[in-house]
Amino acid sequence: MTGSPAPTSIVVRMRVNGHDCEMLVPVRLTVAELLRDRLGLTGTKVSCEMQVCGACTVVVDGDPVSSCTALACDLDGTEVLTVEGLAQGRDLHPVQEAFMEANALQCGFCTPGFIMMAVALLDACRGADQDKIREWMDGNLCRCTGYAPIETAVTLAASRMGAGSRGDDH
Amino acid sequence: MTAVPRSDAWEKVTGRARYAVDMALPNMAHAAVVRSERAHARIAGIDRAEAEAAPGVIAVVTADDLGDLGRRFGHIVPDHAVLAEGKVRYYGEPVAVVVAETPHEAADAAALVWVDYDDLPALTDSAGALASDVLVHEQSYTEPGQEFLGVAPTPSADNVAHRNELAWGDAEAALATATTVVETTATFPLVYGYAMETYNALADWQPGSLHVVSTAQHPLMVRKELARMFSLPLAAVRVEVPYIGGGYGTKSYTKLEPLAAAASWASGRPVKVTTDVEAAMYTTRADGAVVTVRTGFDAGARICARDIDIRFDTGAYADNSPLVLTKSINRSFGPYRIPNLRVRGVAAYTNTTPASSYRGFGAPQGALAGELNMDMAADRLGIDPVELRRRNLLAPGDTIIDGKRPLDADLAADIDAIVDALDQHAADRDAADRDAAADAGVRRGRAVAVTASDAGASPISTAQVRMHADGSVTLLVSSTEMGQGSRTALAQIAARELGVDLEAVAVGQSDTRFTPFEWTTGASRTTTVVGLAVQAACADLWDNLRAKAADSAGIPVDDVVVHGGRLHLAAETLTPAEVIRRWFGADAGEVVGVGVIRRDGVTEMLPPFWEIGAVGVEVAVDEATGEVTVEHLVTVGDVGHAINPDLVKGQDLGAATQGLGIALWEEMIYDGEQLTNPNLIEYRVPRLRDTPRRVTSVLAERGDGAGPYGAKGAGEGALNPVPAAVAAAVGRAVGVWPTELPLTPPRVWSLLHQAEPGP
Amino acid sequence: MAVLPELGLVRSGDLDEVLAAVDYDHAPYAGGTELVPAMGLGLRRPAAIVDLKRVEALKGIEVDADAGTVTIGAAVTHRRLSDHPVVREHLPTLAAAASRVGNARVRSTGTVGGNLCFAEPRSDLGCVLLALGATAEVRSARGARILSIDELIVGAFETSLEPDEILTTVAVPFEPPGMSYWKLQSYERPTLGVALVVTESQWEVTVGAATERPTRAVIVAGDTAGLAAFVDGLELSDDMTGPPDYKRSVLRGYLERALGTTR
Repeated sequence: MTGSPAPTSIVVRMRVNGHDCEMLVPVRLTVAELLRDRLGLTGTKVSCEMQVCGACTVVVDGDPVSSCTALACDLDGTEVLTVEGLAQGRDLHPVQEAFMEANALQCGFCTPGFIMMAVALLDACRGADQDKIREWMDGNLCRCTGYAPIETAVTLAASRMGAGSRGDDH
Repeated sequence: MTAVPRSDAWEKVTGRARYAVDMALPNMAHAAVVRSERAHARIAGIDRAEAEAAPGVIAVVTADDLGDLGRRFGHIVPDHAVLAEGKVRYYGEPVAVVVAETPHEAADAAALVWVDYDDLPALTDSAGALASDVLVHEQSYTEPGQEFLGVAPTPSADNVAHRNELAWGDAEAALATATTVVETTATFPLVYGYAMETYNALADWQPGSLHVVSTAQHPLMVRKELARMFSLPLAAVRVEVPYIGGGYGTKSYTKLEPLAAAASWASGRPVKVTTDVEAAMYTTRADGAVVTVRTGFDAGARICARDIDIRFDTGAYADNSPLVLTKSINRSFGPYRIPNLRVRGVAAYTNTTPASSYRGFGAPQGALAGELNMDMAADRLGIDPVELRRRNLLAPGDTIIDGKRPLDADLAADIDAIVDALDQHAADRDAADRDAAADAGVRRGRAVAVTASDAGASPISTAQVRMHADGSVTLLVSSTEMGQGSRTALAQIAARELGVDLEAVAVGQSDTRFTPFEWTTGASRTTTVVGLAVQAACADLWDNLRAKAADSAGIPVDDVVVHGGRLHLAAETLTPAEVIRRWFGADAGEVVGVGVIRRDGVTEMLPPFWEIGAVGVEVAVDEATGEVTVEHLVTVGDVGHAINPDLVKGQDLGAATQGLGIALWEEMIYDGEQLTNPNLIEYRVPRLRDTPRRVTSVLAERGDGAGPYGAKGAGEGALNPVPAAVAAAVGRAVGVWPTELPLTPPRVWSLLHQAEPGP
Repeated sequence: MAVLPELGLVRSGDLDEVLAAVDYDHAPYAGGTELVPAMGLGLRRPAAIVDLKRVEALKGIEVDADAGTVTIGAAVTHRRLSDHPVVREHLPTLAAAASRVGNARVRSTGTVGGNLCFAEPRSDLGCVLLALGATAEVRSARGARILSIDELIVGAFETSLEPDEILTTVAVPFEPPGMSYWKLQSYERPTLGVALVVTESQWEVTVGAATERPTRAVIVAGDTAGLAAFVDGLELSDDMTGPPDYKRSVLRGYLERALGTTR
């Protein structure tokens, strides 16, 4: 491995919202920069850049990830889901529907991140109870709503999506 | 009216809603800002050769490169340097802008700009600044006679950014003869509003025109400042504001727009400037305050005088703080009968992030000491604090400030609603089968606080409704949508006035080239003031439709009657769409109505409305850790009429939650010259698991507002009294009155230990 | 928005290749939850990062029933640690602590090795692993060393790793009966963490988060004076989560309740 300097760009092959995609990316490029600046998927928002606020949450191979501090070079071989990939045509994902119904948004800047976090949670743990919902969603910040409607929305989505689990959670 | 869903919900849950940070223009370049690493220093030199030679760099811009452009902005005091010139006044101040082809290249090159500083003594607290010979600003920027909204700038000297006073009667004499005098001093922290979309601006300068897309709450105020900076006519400056990712007043007035515009002018390219949270914390914060309240009571526990001193820490530039200080003065003494009053306020320049508007606009600062003082007084007088307030509250129609609108709210009824809710919670708790162990080591306290704010700002607003050939409507206003739901609520008003379905009303985004004049989007004014403009526009539209119906039928206009969303002529009844199509002679055309609000009619008397804040809290304090849990929060949305109840409740809970953040967690901490917590790990804001265990949201709809259907504004009211209420409740729980916020666990622990000296 | 500096990448599935690459300018990189923000802030400026995530040898969780240990690869995420049946069976306190690290995103990407090697004092795993008597295997191209957690974490943000070394695995003895972990977390990171192993004869007390590094004491059961001396002797940090007096008071109060020594 010694001798030649480490490359500063690498080719990644991934699936983004169901579409295969191959790109040469700088190692310094974050997942959020890849999505927003190179793929035009601006639904993913960046705010705290410290993995605290969750606005930039996307789902990579089923796991919630802070796209602002994850490197695009790590996406090689993965499947990435962003807020733009949730709806099936005109049909919204149950989590999106629940956020609309529960009036769980105001300015909307945190909304994609909350929705992706809830999608990851309910994918990992369909029958998530109140404690589980609070534990997961506590990792996202909202400055507008005071959270109560967001908790209601995720609870509503959880009840609609029913029990069942990806199997590696509890 | 009704809780219809938000019109922006689909866009926002699908990620399709556009914010300024999402916008791009062809051939756009990117900026990185070089920020000061000193709080106060002369700029000895800037070496930018290395940066200019770096890959992708188009321009490096410093104050020396601004040519004929205006160097400073500031709508009240034009003191705010676009780029630091000669010296820097706070850590994080923009010194240079590097414009490059990509954000990476701009950032890499910005690290190669070397600034030499000669340090000056840094003034980092307001008391020290007022006593110091060192000046943050060596010159005064104001012209005699200049004023903004009735606020005349104070010529700066001795680090005074602004000074103001409000008085009637003889407070000093009345306090000397009062039966009881109670004094309270409370410190309100430096807080950062943390709108999650951090400040950003995209500017495209071309000869004779300037186009800016930004996070501005007040696009027309920004247009005015940019027009002055570039010596352009107002019409040549276009400020476009898509959805805003949180505002809360922190995006009021001008922020990054001059920097982006200067970078575009200097580079000849459209340029985008963004901030991270750290840079946003260096852009604007709220005024910190130390407030002392002395209240005199007679033998019947009635207030005979209040004497209040307010000292603001306003930071390096005045921005909107002179107005915030003036409002803080008006909002500090509370909606009580006060025969003798004196409030003196001073805003001090310091070498810290400039302060400006934040939700509540001076009210939370004043109310912290003012309302805490009422609780302390109640204790001293041996009266229940709610009873003390009831005894002194103003009644509907009473004068709060001479010459201003009389009180348009029933505060006693609001307080009754709070007390009922707090009692209900206590009863439910006592009735529940409770584990005694859960109560061990827990102390409880509850408190009520109330505020009245002269809100609504200047009642200048214009709305335009364009009815199309099918009867549907496009509503144009320059009010910005930052989550409060104005597009939804204003569409509801238009739909009701025009008798059309809500789905038939489209509301455009704010864009000064296309949407009509609006003073600001702040001071909780939109539903009331813009709502009135929308109503007026709809009335104008009906007049125009009547005229066209009469014209088409060849009858006098008086023979056309509007009723039930239809135009009734002697021979027939027409829908508006039929009138339009008939008049144009085609399935085409449109009819426009324009509504204008100024200081006239229902909005002649200022303020347009008094915004009420009325809340109750019950807190639990963990004796071992000092952690405070809000067990119950009660808000009263005294809004006259809720156009959309869900939106009002959303505003109330959101505002109250920000109040809880200030009360319990939020504080920008300076250690010497530098902010020690410029990130969300250490600047802690309320999280989901901090939310009150129970929330009671009451809507008081008494139709007593000047707005549409008796509406008054919401949005700030529920924040204003919360810090005071939490401070009083914690004080009751621990037995010592807090003197400063936030009430972090170690601070509460320290209060607990003051109450009971340790073994 | 913050931008990362120019960066190279070394990626291999082979441990020896990875070890050959790591040095002062080539930083080991796994979850990135600490390293990436540190690079964004300019606190770390490696020329390249060396990706450990594709090395299978660093991702195992293996139980040795005879030895009574669970061996955890450095690149195992908090999420996998907390959810793994073996960990939940033999190291339930560790699993529970891992399930409460940061937030669900940090747990999905952050790793055991990153957590220990960054040596952020306001952390849980170091405290729990020290209490469990875990040992760390540290490797370089020059060979391997076995260190106790005490030997690995030597100060705030400071380990005894040489620039060319990486942490490969942590061997953790099965949890003894009577173990618990409690933390006070009023901020994003814990203010104070306390791991206890209580038996009839002794109290093992390990304190973390408020100290520069996790600190352990073994006290004869009932020796309240010894316990007090330990608590009073701790050097506690003074930061925004509270002054030392506060942390000591909370610690004292917790220990009194947990050990039943309330006066």
